[in-house]
Amino acid sequence: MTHHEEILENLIQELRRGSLVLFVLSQMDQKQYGYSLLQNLTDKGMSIEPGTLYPLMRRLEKQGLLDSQWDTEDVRPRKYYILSADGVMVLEKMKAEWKQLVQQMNSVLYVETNE
Amino acid sequence: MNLMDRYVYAVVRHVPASQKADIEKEIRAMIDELLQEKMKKTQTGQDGTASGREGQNEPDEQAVRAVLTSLGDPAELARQYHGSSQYVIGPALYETYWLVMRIVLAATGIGLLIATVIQLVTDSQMNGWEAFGSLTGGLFQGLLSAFGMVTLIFLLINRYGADEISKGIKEEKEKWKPDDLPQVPEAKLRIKRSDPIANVIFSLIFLVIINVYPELFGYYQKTGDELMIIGFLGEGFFSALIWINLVIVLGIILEALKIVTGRWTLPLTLSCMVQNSFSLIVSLRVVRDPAFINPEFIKTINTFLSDSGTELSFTWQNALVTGITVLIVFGFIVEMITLIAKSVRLLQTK
Repeated sequence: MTHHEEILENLIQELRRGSLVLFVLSQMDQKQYGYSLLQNLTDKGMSIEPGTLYPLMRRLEKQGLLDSQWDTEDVRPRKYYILSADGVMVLEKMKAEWKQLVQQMNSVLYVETNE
Repeated sequence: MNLMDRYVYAVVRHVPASQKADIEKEIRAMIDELLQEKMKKTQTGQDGTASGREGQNEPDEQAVRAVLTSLGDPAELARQYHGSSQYVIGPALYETYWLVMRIVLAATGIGLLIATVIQLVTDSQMNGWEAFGSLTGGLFQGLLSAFGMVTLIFLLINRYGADEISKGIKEEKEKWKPDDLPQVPEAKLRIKRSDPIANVIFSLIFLVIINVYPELFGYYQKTGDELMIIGFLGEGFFSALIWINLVIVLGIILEALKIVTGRWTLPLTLSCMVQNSFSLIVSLRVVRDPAFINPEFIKTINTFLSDSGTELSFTWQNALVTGITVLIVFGFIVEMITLIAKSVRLLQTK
């Protein structure tokens, strides 16, 4: 990979990483367990490693944005996550922020097309 | 066998004790989930692998391997769970750590230097070789210990008090205003790093030579297979060695101060003047001591001269001593003038 391609890769990764949490939170208004969320994200075009997603969910729970529950119906117990009350609020605020950010970025990046 | 147990163990050992049980449960659930899904895929043929129906309730090893490979290095996974609290000494503390470290190391180094010099002066049984050994050994041990202590203390602070500390540091930074800026030392009063460092190095080399290898200054004579060195320096030099060492060590200390402060101050110039004068007195007394030059040396040179039939006067040693004296005095005067000039400038800018 050339030097430029490397730098580009890194910048794109940074960009994606910043929006990952918001993406995940937006799917959590319904009960999700690890794999269902993984499938969900992949279907929607957001590729993510299971090794990144599971710890992320745990961190979000620690921060109080998600509630969790162990489902012991099956032979193997599964952990379900869902947005907490705080999480719902934070999601709404972040969606508003995102909208604003996109507007700002668009007005800056695509000025030429507004002739 | 149990690849899964081995994997879980490998992740969990990197995780803090308080979270071990929880995370282990989660990881097992995660791996199980992934296995189930993978097996479902395999059975409906979506996966393309030929592992087939070997025991629907038993995960077959190939599937386990595939899942574990997709999860990646257990250490990486553990890092994800850890978040960002993995530093020995965190970024907020780092600057402070180095600041403290520099001060402590400098103080320890100087302290050891002084201690060894005092030992050398007061213990007449210690010769140059022992002093050098004890100095380097002591410096190495002492500096290493100091480094370790400071690092350990900061490690503990980082572990148990990091949040409080970084909050405190942040508050300090927020209160900054332009008045906080330190005065820039006037260009002429600044001391370049390179000069004192060079001085220290040369002084140390000189110190080592005169204490351990004084014969380096001498006349090298080859008689058959043996190389004989007839030293230049005589008893007059060696009896005053303690004083000479003291002068040099004081010089080193002052150079070290110059490195640390980076600029001239009145106390510094005055101390240098004192050291300069001390150096003058000691040098002159040593050089003008009749036993300064090794009589063997004088004899050898004289023999050499008469053998080669040179017309040089046999009182060359007086000329040599005078020459050295002139150099010493000249050096002293130049140094003094420089120091006085700096002091005057310092007094003016006040």
